[in-house]
Amino acid sequence: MRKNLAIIISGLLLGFILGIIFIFTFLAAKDTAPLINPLAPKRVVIGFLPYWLLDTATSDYSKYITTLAYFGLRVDQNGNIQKLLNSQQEEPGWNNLRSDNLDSFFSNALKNNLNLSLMVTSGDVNSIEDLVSQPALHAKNLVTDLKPLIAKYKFSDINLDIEYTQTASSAARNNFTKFVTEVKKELGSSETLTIEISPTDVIRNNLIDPKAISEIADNVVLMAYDYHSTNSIVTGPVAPVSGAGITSEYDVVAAIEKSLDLISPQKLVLGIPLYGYEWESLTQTPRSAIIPNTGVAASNRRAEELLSSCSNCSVTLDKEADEQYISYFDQTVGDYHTIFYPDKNSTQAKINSANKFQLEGLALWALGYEGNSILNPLTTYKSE
Amino acid sequence: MKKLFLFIISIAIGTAIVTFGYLWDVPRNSQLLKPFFPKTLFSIADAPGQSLSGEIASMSGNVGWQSRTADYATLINSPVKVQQGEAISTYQNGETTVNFPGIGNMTLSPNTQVNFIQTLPANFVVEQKQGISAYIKNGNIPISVRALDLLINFEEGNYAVSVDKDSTNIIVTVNSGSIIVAFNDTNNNTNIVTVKEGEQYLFNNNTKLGRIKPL
Repeated sequence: MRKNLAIIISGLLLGFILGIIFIFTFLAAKDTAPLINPLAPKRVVIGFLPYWLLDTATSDYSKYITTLAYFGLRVDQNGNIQKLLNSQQEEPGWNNLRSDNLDSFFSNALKNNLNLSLMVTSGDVNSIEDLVSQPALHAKNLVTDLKPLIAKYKFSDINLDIEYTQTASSAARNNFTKFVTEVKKELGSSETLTIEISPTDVIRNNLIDPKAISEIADNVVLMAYDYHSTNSIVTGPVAPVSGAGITSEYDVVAAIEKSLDLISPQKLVLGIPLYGYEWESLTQTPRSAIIPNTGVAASNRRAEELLSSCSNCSVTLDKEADEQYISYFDQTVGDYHTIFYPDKNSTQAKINSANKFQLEGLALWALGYEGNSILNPLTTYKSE
Repeated sequence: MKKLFLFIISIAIGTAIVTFGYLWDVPRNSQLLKPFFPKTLFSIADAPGQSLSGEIASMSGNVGWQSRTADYATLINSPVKVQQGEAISTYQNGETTVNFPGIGNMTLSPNTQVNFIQTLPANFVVEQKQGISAYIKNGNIPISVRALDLLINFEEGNYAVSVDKDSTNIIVTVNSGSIIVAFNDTNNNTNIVTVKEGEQYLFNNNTKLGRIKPL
């Protein structure tokens, strides 16, 4: 009896050790989780649909996404939805929502059991400062304006995209948190609330307090892109997976890690780009100085089309970033064009990162930028 | 045989307990295991590992240094190391020379500000926000200077760049060597000009017009 007990105990101990080795080797340390956790909730895949891409986007993305988020309506300094640009012109986000341009997108989404989300946005520094100056009143104004739209279009989520990416006073940060708290309270339990944050929000004291708002919001989207953009001084990857601390200042994995110090992975959604940027420079190597004011956004579709017709283009993979770039010499001007852009391999790399950190899901900026294959890895991700 | 079976079953149960215990709450358990896995090398305070650092070789008067984490420059009393993401400013009576081994050096006249945008061996890029700075390029690493909306690429040689923020006039003097300047004009066309030794390039940032003038 005593011998049997010793055998069981030593077997269990060995089993514990083997289990720990198994977890470290196959579950926790790998980029991809080979075993799918049966207890995990369904993954979220948000597809952002901006009004300026309605003509290029297809009307049904249900193979790839779980939520269709319309971008969007502008919130003014008082918390009201901006309906006019001036006395002659309607605000385009509002105008498109009221028109029939979105009908097929929305009806297909609802038919395929996707959630519909309405994005409410502002990028105007002064307006945002006014907006958060009276958080309770302005939140109430906002939700009062939103309620009829939620009912009419069957939105089940409100997505706040308030982009104020500069340092803010602690009073302003508190006020923004109060604003979000009030919006959530006014919305009630029937609609979820999603908040966008930028990678710098998790390393600097910007307006958004990621920890505080993640305790209020249902989901937080980390917009892990624009590491290089139109205003950059040197060319480089738009959403580098890695490289921070080696060649890059910052990267997607570092932003996820910093976010997870503040936000539960069950609320964190990784925003990924379907676009890149094109710049002109005097040398061909990546991280060259950009000729000022030559940067433009380049969709994955534009990059693919360029590649299919360009005879002097070369494509190189930035292995660290998991992002490729096209470069070619412009013989007319005498300079080089460099286009860093994501493709299906970049999408897979982001999926691997999301899996590794057990994130809630992915968000795509933006539907309509995609070419032939960049979305393909999402079909299996969504259904896993 | 029976004992071997008992031992194997015990191992299986032990492994299953640990594995399902982990899977029960993956997010929380992943967080618990985080210290065991290496984090990225990202740091706000420190420049990327492959970037090169320089040092202040000489200084006089009021010289300011802005670290990667600071919002503004602070006056320094003694030379400091300079890395990517930092900035050096001189004030009314200030002057300083910053040396980057294998690349070259720059001497900032009073009331000048230079931001060290990228000090990677692939491309060394600084932004001259204002004032006058002399540059010597004596290495193989490409040097680019961004002056307002003008890009200047240096070949090996000796140059001076003057940026007047108020008038938006930029003057690039080629004492030796040659440079290529590039800008996007008001019609959104890219212009590229080679300027040789003994010439100056005069550029106005508002009009986006430039011309070569002999020294």
